[in-house]
Amino acid sequence: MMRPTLLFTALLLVGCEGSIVGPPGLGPPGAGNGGGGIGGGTGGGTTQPAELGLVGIRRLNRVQYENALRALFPGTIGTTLVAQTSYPSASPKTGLASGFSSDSDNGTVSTQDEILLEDGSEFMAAAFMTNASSLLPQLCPSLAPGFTDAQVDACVGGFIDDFGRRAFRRPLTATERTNINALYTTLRVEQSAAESFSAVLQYFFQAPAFIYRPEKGTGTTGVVALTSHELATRLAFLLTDAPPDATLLALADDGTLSDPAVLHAQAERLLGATLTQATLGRFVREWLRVDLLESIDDMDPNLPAARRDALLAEVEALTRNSWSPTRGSMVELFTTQQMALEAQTDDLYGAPNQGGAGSFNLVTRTDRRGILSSAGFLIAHAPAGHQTPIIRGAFVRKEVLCQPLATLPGNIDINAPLNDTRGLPTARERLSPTTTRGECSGCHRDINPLGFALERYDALGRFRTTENGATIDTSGSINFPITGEQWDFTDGDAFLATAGASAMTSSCATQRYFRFALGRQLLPSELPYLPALNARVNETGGSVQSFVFPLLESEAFTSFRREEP
Amino acid sequence: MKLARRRFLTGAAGAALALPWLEAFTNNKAHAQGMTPPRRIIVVAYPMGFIRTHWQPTVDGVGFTLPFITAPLEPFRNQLLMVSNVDNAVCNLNSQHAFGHPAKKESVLTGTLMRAAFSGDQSNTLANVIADAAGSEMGGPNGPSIEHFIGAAIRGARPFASVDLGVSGENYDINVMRSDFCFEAATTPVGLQCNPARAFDQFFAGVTTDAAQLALQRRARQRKKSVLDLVRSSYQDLKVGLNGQDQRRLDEHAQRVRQIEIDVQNAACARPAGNYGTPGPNAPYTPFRMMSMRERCQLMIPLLANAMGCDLAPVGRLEFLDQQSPFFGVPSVDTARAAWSSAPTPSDWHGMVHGDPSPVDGIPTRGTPPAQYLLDGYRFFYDQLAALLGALRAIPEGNDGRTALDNTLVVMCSDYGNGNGHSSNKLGFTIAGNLNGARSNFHFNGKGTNEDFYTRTAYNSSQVLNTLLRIFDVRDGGGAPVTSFGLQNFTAGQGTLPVFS
Repeated sequence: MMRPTLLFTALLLVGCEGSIVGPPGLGPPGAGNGGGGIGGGTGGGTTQPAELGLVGIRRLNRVQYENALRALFPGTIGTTLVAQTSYPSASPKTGLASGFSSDSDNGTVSTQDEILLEDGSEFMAAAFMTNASSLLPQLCPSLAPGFTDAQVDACVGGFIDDFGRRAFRRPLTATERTNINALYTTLRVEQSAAESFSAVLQYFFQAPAFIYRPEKGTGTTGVVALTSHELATRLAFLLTDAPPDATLLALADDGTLSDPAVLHAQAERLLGATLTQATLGRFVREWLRVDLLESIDDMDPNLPAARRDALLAEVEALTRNSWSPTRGSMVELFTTQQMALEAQTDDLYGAPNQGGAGSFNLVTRTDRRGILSSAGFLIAHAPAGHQTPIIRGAFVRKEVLCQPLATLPGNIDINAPLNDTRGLPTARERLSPTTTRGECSGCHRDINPLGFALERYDALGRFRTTENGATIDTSGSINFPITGEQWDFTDGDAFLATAGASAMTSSCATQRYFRFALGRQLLPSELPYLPALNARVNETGGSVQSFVFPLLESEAFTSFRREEP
Repeated sequence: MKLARRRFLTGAAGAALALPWLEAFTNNKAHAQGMTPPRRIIVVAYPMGFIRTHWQPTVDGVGFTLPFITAPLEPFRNQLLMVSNVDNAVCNLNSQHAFGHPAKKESVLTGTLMRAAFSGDQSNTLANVIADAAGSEMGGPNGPSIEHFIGAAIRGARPFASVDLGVSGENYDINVMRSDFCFEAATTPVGLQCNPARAFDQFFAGVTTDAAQLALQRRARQRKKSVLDLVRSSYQDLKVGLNGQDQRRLDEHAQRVRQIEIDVQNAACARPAGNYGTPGPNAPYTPFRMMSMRERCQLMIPLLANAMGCDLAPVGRLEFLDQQSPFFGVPSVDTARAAWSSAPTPSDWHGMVHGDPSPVDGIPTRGTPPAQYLLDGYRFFYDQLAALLGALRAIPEGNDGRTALDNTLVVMCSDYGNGNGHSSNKLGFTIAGNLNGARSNFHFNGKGTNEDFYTRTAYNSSQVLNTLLRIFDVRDGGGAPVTSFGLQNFTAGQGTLPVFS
């Protein structure tokens, strides 16, 4: 879990001195790029062939680990084991300012993490051993009640093969099979079958091939294709945050999954899976950093834990209603006026009884438009003690529109410029020096209008038209040098409509989905992939399928580049 | 005597054991000369710097008076080296690293920049630093922090590599948080245990003397060892065929597994007093989540001191984790904080540090004099440092009248000098305990050209890190002293501070 304060503080300081100038090569759609951000890229051709980046090994995040446990064990055993694990505390978290919990970079392991990981494995194994007499027959079908140790010995080899294949998402290697069987037989010299069997589980729970997703490919140099099992794993985790199911594993075993038509059909199938919508919800939640709500202090009287949970759930419900495999689009997610509301947030939306407790009503709200107007998003990006318009504006520019922010100055006094305007009623007035003073305006003229447009919602996401008795002006004008666009909007609603329908937003969503799928940022050398990835998104307004299928058809998904020796 | 839970798994449970490893790593030159390097290092880190004029000793060298913020350290002045006005100079090599909190925190103890600021093969050397390209917000410095490096050099056979505790100032259901200052490797932050019940469990949970239970534990130990052996070998098998970066990632993880295997050796230790709730690896965060930092420190500091006092690890860490609106447990700060947070334009501790005018009365917090609640808040951290030093001093160690403090070096730092400008220049370090030849009861002032906290000084924090290396007499594999740390070939960061007699 990251703490939001670092991000917020960093963003607060955005924008004095200098102007936003794209890194070298950050040009019109399809052109190259430098630095950490990707700009523009709304389509168009390029003469440069794409060059795939290196693959990065990923460690299962919390939801993936827990889904894997549930998938591995029949019935309720997995759920029971999930309650025993301390893996969540040691699991990869979202990055400091951006990035997904499933990113490669977020999977490093500290000693404390390893202690928790190992502890969790030990306690899950202990929990299993405590109930071994009833659980073992569920894992070894040949065992009947009252089984003997000798009967367990007879079944363990088959169990290791089958369980190992599902845990490692590929058949065990001969070495692995030998070593795991040896673990059991060595312990059996002094220990019971149940004890030795639990040790095998204790190993699997923390085995590197289980908690990591290694990708070795089918070749030794250059761009190499994933193995069919690696492809199955990528697909399953992309769409369901869970390991491949039996069907996918079978197709991987016989190699047919590498056929694009088969891959396409399996993706179609998984898009109907129960877990898929939750995975799409995680994508949206982590991309837009609504998960920052989880880090808000419990002592905040306005945001007790139950309300924060409801706000997060509302965002997921909004996603489910506006961007799912069966309906909606990315444009709809950003522009719908049908908000999913739950009872805990009634007063934030200014109307009682619009949602039920723990359930969501779809309510048409003329004062809202899309996910950027959801209370969850607005609160997550309005930390106390900071200039909300700057925080929100900088986030929207960088993470929603994928437009770069300038190189940031350091060792500056950010208070002095505001000394003369502190007493003014509206944020636009209070922050006016940041867009009129030469040393500040270079950045703030490109940030503030985006934040001022969202000023019609206060720090708790409540709609408002005045601040301290003065009318709030949410109109604005802003320029995007990389795409050459100029937005002029009369009020916040017009801004939300423009942003929601913008090709910058859909292109940014594509880039972020690429990162979500591959666990790393789209690299400058990979920008030539973007037009193809974007094409169907732009045609459809961004259906789920338009994000998924072009990606599956891209070599970026089915291959990776090997490191030069 | 109690055995730590992790260790009784393979140890001779219930036995009070000697600590034979204590002499295993003190065979260096300083020892031969009559000075003994510290046996351990503790890092205490907190965010948001200080108010320099109320932190810095009154005069340079000897004979200083400690002002309000650092006054709690007065009882320890004979084992105290105050270092003021040193720049975090690596921050100035890349424009991104002169910016906000993350880059500054990550560079103070690592002496280097975020990995994304490096080009080429990203090795940690000056030639690879990109002067003005944007750094990645993914963060993570390009090397470990100093206490990790020193710890690896002096660990000997001690059962733990480190005791890592966090004091969260906010209240949410998080047990392990990532350190902002301390790193085990490039981009791998130390995990800080913030739940006192779990921390207690990790180091001090008791064992039974029941024979049946002991038999079960012996069997559990056997399984654990076999499992860990296989896990570790699996890392070696799995990395075949992966690219170099992924192999390094798995190697690092395998090292952590090795760490666990070492942890299960025997040791003995006295448990700290205090109500740690119901210890256990999955102990809930409640009731701790609603505690103030002061209350949490009352549990964490004795725990850290006891763990250090019985030499469980060569490294201790205590980090204060929230810079925004921590619940101090200091009445004046908490009253102000409540007023600020409920004002029409809410603000918080971070705003106070910035010198914002109070939303209550419009008076800037950093006027002359500063608001008392701001001074009280800063002093809180030095109150806690004094409590830690006192707890270490209260623990006898050996038979020569020495205490745990006499065998420990405690280093306290923050990310900034003056907090209100988020300045990485003119930082201050508080170094206490066994200084092993560095001057004690001494104030080293790096000065600088003027009082402006944005201007640069003649000394930097890389030299502070080098000074720590010398205090510990860290040597390379060939027996030569290691003289520099962090960014390689960083000429300005060479040498120690001139604090050795």
